[in-house]
Amino acid sequence: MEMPWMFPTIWINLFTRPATRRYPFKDIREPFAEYKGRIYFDSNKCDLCGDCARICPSRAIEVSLTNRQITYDPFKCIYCSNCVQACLPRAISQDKHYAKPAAAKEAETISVPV
Amino acid sequence: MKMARTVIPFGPQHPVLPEPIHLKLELEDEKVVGVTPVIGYIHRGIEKAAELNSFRQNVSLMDRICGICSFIHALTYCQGIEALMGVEVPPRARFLRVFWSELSRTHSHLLWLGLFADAMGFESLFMQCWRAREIILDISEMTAGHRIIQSTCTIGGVKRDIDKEMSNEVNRRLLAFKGMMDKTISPVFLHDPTIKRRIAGKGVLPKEQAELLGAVGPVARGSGVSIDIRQTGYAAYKEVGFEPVVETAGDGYARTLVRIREVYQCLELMPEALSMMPDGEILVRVDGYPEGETVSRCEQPRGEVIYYLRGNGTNNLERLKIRTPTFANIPALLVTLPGCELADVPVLTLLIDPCISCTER
Amino acid sequence: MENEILVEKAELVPAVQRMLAEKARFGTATCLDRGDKFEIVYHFEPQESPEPLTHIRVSIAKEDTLPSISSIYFCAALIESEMQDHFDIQISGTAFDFQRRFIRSRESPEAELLKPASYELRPPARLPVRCGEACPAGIDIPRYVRFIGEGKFAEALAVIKQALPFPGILGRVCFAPCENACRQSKQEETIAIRMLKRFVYEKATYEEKVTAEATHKRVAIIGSGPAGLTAAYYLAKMGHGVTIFEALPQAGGMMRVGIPAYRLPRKILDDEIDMVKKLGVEIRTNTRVEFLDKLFSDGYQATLVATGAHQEMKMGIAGEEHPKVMDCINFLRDVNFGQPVELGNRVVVIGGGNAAIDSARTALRLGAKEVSIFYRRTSAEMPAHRSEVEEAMKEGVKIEFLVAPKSVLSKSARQALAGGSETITLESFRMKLGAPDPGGRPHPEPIEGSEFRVDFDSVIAAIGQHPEFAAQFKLKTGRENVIVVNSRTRATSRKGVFAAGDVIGGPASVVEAVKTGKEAAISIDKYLGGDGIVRVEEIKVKEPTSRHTFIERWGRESKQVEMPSLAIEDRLSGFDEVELGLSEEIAIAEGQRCWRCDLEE
Repeated sequence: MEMPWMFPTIWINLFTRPATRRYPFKDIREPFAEYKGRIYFDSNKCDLCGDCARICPSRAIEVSLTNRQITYDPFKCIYCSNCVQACLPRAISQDKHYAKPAAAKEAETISVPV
Repeated sequence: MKMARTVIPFGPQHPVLPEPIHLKLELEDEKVVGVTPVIGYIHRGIEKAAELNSFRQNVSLMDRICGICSFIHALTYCQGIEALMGVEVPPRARFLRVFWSELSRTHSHLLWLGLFADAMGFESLFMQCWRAREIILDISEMTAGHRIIQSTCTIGGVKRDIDKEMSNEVNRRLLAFKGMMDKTISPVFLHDPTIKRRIAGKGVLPKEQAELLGAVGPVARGSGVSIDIRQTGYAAYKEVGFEPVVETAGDGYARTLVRIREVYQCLELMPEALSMMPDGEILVRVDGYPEGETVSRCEQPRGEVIYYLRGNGTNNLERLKIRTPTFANIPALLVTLPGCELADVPVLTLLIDPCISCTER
Repeated sequence: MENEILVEKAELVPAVQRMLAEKARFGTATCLDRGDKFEIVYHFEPQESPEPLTHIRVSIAKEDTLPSISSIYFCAALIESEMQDHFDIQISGTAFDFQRRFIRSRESPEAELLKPASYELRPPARLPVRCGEACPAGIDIPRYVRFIGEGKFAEALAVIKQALPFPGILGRVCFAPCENACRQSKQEETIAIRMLKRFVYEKATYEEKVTAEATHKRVAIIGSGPAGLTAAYYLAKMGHGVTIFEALPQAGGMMRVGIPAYRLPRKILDDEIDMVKKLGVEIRTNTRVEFLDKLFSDGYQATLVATGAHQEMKMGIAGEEHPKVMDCINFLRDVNFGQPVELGNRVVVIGGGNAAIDSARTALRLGAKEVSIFYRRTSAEMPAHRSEVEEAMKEGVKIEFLVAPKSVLSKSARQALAGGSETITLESFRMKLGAPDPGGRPHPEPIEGSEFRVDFDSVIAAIGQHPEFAAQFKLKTGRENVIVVNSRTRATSRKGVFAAGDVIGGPASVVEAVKTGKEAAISIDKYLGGDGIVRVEEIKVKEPTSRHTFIERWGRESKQVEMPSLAIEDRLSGFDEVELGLSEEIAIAEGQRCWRCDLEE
């Protein structure tokens, strides 16, 4: 007999609901709490020390002390959370939601007040 | 009558290949008589880049040599640096490293089973394999934070912990996965006649040739060579206890059998590692700079990976050399191909589980 | 490496054949570029088990040709082809030639990116830190705080002594610009750097010795304040003979006559001065210098003028010659030398600097019941240190802002005949802030018609000081009688005469005086023919190279500890020191709280 081995699976799959989600009509599932998602910078706590820029493996962060600015490129970022752990004033936080794609690859600029 | 020889290019773009490799096949009619491999399409210069980064930043780079074997690359690198600097990793971290290594291995073998079924045209089996793989990816996301590139291994231990609650959840999901394996995936691969007709007796690699050519991993173990680096007991493999899975036939069916059996072995090793974990810290301080040279090896899903590290007391390594398992299996591929038919070439190429991004790092 | 066999090029193939005979499996080969030669290491695995590995190492010159081993181990052809492409090494006799098929040829412009260029391998570097840059004396602050956190108190004291000579004094009176610059001050959790300095001075000892040879040159220093003493310390350590001339009966300068004993106990000051004397420095008190030429003719090859700023500025209001109107310098000097001062019960201090706060708190301790401070700007512009103002307010001093005196009216002769104690009336304006003056602070302007009168028993003027020294010095002076010096060498307009301390910049702080005194000492040494290098001994301790933020600080809160100080009731009865020291546990915990900004992550 040629193909009995897939029959149970095929039979079950005919009568159960699909394994995939019909995105965008249905939203994605809630991510797990430990998922490493978007990076946020809190400009009130930052004191422009530059540790995050030094430790970033993909050089996605640039810190300029003279302009009092942080430039963060979410498209170079690899979401490894090294910067989150290295920031001593806890100015960088990471959300659990996936960083959404965008129409243009632009870097974010965050100004740090005095 | 002299047969005309045609040269047909296989790859670099081919539907069955996950990554680009170019094989120049010399055919006589439908039979392959000669093959020349060309590799280098995705060479990224990682070894040189590793000299420009500091030795701590390199761990993120090592994670990204290959997507599927990423944790074990980082693990081998960290083990090498820890050997150079005399660091002792805490026991809990060693068990966690075993857990994630086995998770990577399960993931890789499931992915390979899917691609393999696809190479034979069996698309519904391909989808079932990848549906089961989703359970593994969910476990990875839950414990490590990302689905494919875990990036939890670091010098001196691991970065994330798995507590009791998460461990129970992991075990629950692994049971669901085992159910899918038992009902859907294993019976088809092991017993289905169409699959057997395509791989049994094809691509035979005798044991002496396997040893001479330096084949590693399931390719070697499918030919009867009982070599598995996990026997040396790195990370926590000595405590967990381990025996390599060996088959003697040497053909494609044997290699498939080795990989499926290894998945079941991983499914036993993972809960055992989680339950045997002692309490304690997961990361220790590592101070200083690496000096000296060392060779560090681990067992990737595809075989043995060798890292040679050399440090000279500064923040950057002087030389990092990586020998990935697929690199060692390509000569084995070149020996099994002549004599088979053109239609078998995709299947035989996939049987060595080519991970070309590792090979051309 | 273990199990390594070193071979010459000619023995390579026989050695690999021996490996084959033992049925070893070929792992891989590593090529290293050593600059003038290539080093190739072959890694082999035994047949039965994965361990142990055997390595064969061979070195060849760059133009040399390496024999291929692919005839013995076929699979080595692939790795040799890769070595040829990466390193441009010549290999002869490969069994299988892959014809070099990398996507980019070596001549393409992108090939430049593969070269590492001329980057230097970084030595263990330390990052510049905000606290270290804020310290005028340049102490290696994160290092000594780290040593305290690890319990290494003697090493911490040695680190401080590398930069300045008086940790005991500065641990009590320094205004700590480092603490303002500390990165944790943004969250209000500053590390108590000054208290740690005081703790380690009391806890550990440091042996002072002069290691340089005697140069037989003599230097005269006029003034034994912090600038003069620091210069004497460094000049003595460089081997010169130093004599200090002090006009007052006791040495110490402003530290003795300006800073009250509840901030700087006299014993600590005497101990530090004794430490300088033990280095061979002679201090002649009660000796006022009038003529610089006499010093040179007495055999001193160089002179340092460090007389400080002890002349109070006049307020410029009517009636200030009244005997009950004193200036704070004389007042504090009399108190510190133990002379009796009659203040009465109601005292007002005019001014907003540290001298004013010192005078007010001293007045409280002498028994005055109501002490007020009148300051002509607001609290934001007050130059006195924040913590001093807070302590003064805690002790009961009332501070009135935007008030400036107009004139001092004494009671008429009628009240003097009545025999009552002579009170004086201070007539003052209310002020408002106007346009900024050249110094940048808003200039206060009197509000017309807002005069008010308050009665006081004494008035203390503390509006500012300027230097005063004999005109026969014949030195070029600048604004408000400071000596003009070269900003690098601290040399005055006269050859061989240098100046340091308050006398060159107006009233500043002790640590600024220490900084200028040290620079002047280095400059004098160079002038006298030395090399001007202060030799410090190395502190040999194994130090960490990384901050380990993830292990050490992640998830842990950093909270500042309450600094222990004397209760208010106990303070005012005498001149006991207000700040009590730290205990060992608190000091170690505080040292471990430091963020270690000088280490890389």
